[in-house]
Amino acid sequence: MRSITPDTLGWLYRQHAPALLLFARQWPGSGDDLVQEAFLKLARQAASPEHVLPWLYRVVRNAALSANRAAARSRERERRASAPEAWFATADDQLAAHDATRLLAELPLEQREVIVARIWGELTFEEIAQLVDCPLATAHRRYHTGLNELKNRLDGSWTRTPPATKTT
Amino acid sequence: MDPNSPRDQDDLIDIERRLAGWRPDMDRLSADELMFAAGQAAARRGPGRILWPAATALFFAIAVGMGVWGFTERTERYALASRIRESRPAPSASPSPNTPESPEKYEPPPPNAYLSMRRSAEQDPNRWLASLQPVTPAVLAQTPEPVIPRSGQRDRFLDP
Repeated sequence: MRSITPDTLGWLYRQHAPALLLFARQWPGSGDDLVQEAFLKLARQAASPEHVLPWLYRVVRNAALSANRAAARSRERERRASAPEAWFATADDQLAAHDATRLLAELPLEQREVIVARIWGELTFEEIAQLVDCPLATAHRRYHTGLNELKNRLDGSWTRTPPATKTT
Repeated sequence: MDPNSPRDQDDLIDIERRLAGWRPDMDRLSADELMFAAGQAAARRGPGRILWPAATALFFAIAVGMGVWGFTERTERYALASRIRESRPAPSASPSPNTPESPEKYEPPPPNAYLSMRRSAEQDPNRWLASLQPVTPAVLAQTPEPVIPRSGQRDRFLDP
């Protein structure tokens, strides 16, 4: 199998980099540099992986887990965890972007990563189960539990908070 | 409440659709930066990445080796030269610088040499002419006539 062409790389980046960035941000301290590095790693591959998108998510997840472990004790991690940056450019007419970010950020990580990979990453449940290294039924359960939690919060039991002030 | 009921499934589909409408933030993503970095990575991935450093290391090693060999060889030559100088016997008495070197013994040319005859002719032509022995008919008769090959004649060069 041949290495990936520049056109394909650019197309993949434009199509999937935003969702990959959202996926990477599920781990405190992880961000655009991990996404960039994952695409660079793809460009350096002598042979393109058979399933590129799950491969990219796995690379980002592994890098995010490593970065999160390295920064586990840092103050930066605590700051980012307490006031996450905006994960969404726009949400919908009923919800502001920062409320959408907080809403998703309050879910447990194991549910968040499955939901992000499924809804914005458009991975199949089989690919997600392989990605997070769990049985297929577990991936389904985490997904539905997380969606039910989001639905309940969006239905009114969840109280919106004012946007966090940015500290420089 | 059964989470797999049709009503709940519809609700989940609705929430899925709503979430899918949220657009992830991508302000900090730059496709141009990625393509530039990918180009750099591709340039470094070629065979030149190994070839040129290897060639440089090889030629450097050759240059160092030849330098060491040349230095040791030169040292050996100097040592050999000094040993030869030391083993050569010293002269018994050094010649005095005031003593002129003895000239080489001059041997005059024989009297029938061209140079002697020319000098004699230049100094006194008459005397030189007088010194020449006249050619007499008896002398000429003693001189064998040279063989002149002629056309139509067999000669001794061709005869068996």
